[in-house]
Formats: sequence, structure tokens, C-alpha cells
Amino acid sequence: MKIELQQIIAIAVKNLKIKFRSYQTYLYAFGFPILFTFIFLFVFKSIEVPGGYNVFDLAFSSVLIYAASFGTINAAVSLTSEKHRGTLMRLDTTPIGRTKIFIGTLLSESVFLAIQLLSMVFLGYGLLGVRFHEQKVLLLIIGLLIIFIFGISTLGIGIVISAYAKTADAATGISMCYVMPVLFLSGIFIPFDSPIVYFFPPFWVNQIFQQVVMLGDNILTDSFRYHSLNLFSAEFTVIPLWGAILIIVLATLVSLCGGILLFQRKTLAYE
Amino acid sequence: MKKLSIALKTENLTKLYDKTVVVDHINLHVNKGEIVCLLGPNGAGKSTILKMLTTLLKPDEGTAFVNGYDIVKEQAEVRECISFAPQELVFYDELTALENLVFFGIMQGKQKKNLEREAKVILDRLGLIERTDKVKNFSGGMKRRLNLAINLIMDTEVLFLDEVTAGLDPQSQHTVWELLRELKNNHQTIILTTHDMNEAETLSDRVLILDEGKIIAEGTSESLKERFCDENTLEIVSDQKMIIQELNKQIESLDFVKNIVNNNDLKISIFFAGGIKNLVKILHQEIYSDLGEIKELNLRQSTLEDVFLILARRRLNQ
Repeated sequence: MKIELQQIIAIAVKNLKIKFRSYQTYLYAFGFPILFTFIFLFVFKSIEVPGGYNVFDLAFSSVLIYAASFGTINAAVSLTSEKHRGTLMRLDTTPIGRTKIFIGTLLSESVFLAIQLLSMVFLGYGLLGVRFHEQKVLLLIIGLLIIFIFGISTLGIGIVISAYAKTADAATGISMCYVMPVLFLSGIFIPFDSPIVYFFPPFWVNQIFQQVVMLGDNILTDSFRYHSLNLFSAEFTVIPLWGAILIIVLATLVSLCGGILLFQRKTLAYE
Repeated sequence: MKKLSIALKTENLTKLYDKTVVVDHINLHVNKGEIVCLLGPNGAGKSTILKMLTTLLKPDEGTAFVNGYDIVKEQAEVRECISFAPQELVFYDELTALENLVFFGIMQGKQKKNLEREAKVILDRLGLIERTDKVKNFSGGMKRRLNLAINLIMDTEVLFLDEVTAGLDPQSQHTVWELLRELKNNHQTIILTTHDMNEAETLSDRVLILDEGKIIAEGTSESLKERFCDENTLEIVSDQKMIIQELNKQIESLDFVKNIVNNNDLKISIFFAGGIKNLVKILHQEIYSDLGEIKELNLRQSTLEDVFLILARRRLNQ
């Protein structure tokens, strides 16, 4: 194996080992989403909506997005710890270089995000019987990929936070201050009928996921619908669905590049 | 890799923090296989010099060459031949010692294949092989040893060690010294900072004493002792200030006395060569009648610590 690849994998494996050996990981990344799932199950399961669904079926996408949002905390804690304990400084005296550190970190966080999403999918669609359009697995996979891309974009915000946070605890606190308002203002937990929701990526992700996975809309031919209160009576907008996905991809690229540039600027001099 | 006999050379290396000069036009060279020790009070600029030489900080003026590579223009090449052990204990608490060593070995560019075996040999030497649990459970001394072990696995040509033995018990300290001597015998170059004068004297080929970002003395520990305090030190402790003041006056004019340091009003250290008889004569003549008021007379060989104290006192007086 080429040494560069070996180094990137070593960084990713090291990050995953540290993550899985810390109890906070289980609490934030798995405990809270599972808790929300069961709260939603008990509150919404009995409320029927059109299309043969119940409210829990619809609300489960917001739990998946909520779980993916923890990428912000994961990336922020991972890089802030690296900075705080001095290992980033020690790594900066080796030939590894920041690019490989970032790629290794993004790799570990992506693997972790995938494990997290698959666990939630197993719980929701496997164990609790959440329904989706004609039970077509392909639609579910497309929907999950969109949430995965969103999860990657949350890493960028985490990197921004890590540029400023001094300790892992501070990084967790700042991340929570970002994640929770964004989730609520995007209207994915509590329907929020306001154009404000357009400014928050979780709104776009939730809408696309529900259109594709719950309504079976075609990402190439159908349009994005504006809905905040009722998915089934939502009107089509002029934005094509693929265009909305492009917005998510662009937001991901911007947040990642911006985060990395800011982190570099704030941490390259050890004065 | 460039083949040179000089491992490190600095040219007017300078660093400013907010217009304050913390490293002031340092010029030094270190030959391959040398152990050079940087001594100096806190804030003298030792750690800043190490940070610049390890490419963590950019100099504001001048530059340095490690194995012939410019620390400003050829950072990647410099990093391939150096390793740095910072003052703080820097590794991953959630990993085991073995996992830490293998990880840092890979980061230095070594192939994973043989790393585990090499890491086990190093851990065995440092008495850490039995510990297979997470590093966060280690004692302070064990963590210190691991901090150094990371440099050993990296196996680089130049090692920068910032107070690596601070807080180690004497046995562990001697193990580390042995290891560093082995590295030297292996033609690896070591730049070491320490506050332990005994360590500097025992280990280093050359000592650089820094203060306020400048090199104020440089040489082997023997040459420094010869220059500043000669071979012997007589410490006199009295319970009367007057006795010490009188002695100071009498002794400072003696030609075989190289230096006198008033450690405090009641203690004086006299650094001199050979002429103990003369010194005793003075002591006898001048204070014989008051000898009862001298609490302690202590004759010993001069040490590097004496040099350090003389220079520190000199700077204070300035």
C-alpha cells in the first residue's frame, strides 16, 4: 500500500478508535437520536395522514437529519481535541501535511456518519416499521445519500467551530448552540410556515427526502415543492428537484472549503 | 538527502512577538552526532527557537538549515529528517502506547509492516511493554517516557527534545540518558532543552546558555566552567551580613578568584582555581577571630549550575 494512503487510513482509524472509546460518542451520536425516535413513535404513531402513512413515518426523516447534524459536533470535537492536546502541533512537525490530516478526518467522520445513519435506518425502517413509497429500497437509498451529503456539509461547520474553540467541551457547547436552532428554524421538527426555512439546509434536505422517499418524486423530472405544514398538499416551485440537490452539494462544498481555509488561517502559527 | 557534516545551522534567527524580540539574531551550528543543550531561564527563548527549527513558527528575520534544508523554504524536507518532543505530553490518551507509537511511525513515513516490532522493542527499553491499556491510565513518569518513545520510533536524523526528562524518577532519567547516548553513537543529532544542569553536564557535547533571546555563553561544560568559575567553589554561610560583606571585599581582589556570587546576604560562593591555601590564609587572617559566626564552609567542585547562576546574576546586575 502506498505510504500516503496508509497515512490517511491511519488517521481515520485513529479517529474512529478514539471516538468509539469515548462514552460521549454513544450519548450524542446514538443515544439522543434513538431517544427522539421513541418519543416520536409514541407521540405520532397513531396520527394518520394521507397516502397510508402516519405522522411518525413522516417525522422519522427529521430524526435522520438530526443524527446527521451531529457531524458538526463530531468534527468540531475531533479537530479541537487535536489542537488542544497538542497532537496537531506534533503532527505538523512530521511530513504528513495538513491535507492528509483533513482527508483522514473527513474519511473517519464519513465512516462514522454512515454507521450512524445505517443504525438509525435499521432501527426505524427495520425494527419500527417506518413506511416509505411503495417500499422501494432504491428511493430510500437515494434519500439516505442526500442526508449523507448533508452530513458531510455539517462537518464543514464543525471545522469552522474547531478553528475558534479552545477545548473539546467548548466545541461541543458551541456546536449545540448552532445545531439546535438550525434544526428548529428549518421547520423539520415543528412545522414552521415561514420563508426563513429556506435559509437552513435541513429544510431542503428534509423536503427532498420526503418527496423522493415518501411521495416517490423523480429527481430528474419533478420539481421541488414548498411545504412546511402539509407535504401532501404542497405546491410545486420552479426549482427542479435536482437543482435543490445541487444546492445541498454546493452548500457542502462551501462549508468544507470555508471551514478548512479558516482552520488553516487560525491554527498554522504556533505562537 | 543532502550529505553534510553540519546537522543544523542558523543565520541571524530572529523572532518577535508583538514587537518584543524573543529570539535575537541567533547564530549557531550543530554537527552531526552532537548533543547540544540549550539552557536558560524561563522566557529565554529556548522553546521559540525549537518551534522555529521544527517549522512550527516562521522566523521574522534570518533562517536556519536542518540537514542543509531551509526551514522556511523547504519545510517538507526538513520535516522528513526531524522529530520534536514538546514540553507538554503530546499523544492520544485514548490509544494504547503501542497504538500511539505505530501511528506516529506511520505519520513520519515509515512502512507499517515492521513498525509494531520496532515499537515493542522501544517500549521494552522504556519499561512500558507490559502496559496494554489506554495511555490515560499511565502515571506521569510513564507518560513522559512515552512522549520520548514517539521520537524514538520516528528514528529521524535530528531530534529536538524540549525538557523531555522533567519529572522523571532518577532511574527512568538514567534510562533515557542511556538511550540518548545510543542515538548519538548512531550519529543522530540531539538538540535538548532542560532545566536540569546535571543532565546538561552529563549528556551534552556543547552547552548554549540563552537569556532574553540571545546566546550569552557557549562551549563544552568544562570550558564554560573554566571560563566563569574555574574548578573549585567555596560556599560560606554566616549568620551575620557584615562577615559576608567583609569577605567579599577581601576576596574579590585575589587574582586566583574568578568570580564571587552573593547568593543572599548571608551566603557567598567563591569560584577559584588551585589556590585554596591562599584562600584559607585570607579566611584565617581576616575572620579568624569571628570564625564562630561562620555557620558553614563547603568546598566542592564547580558545576554547570554555578556557571548558569553567575551568568544569571550578571544579567540581573546589568
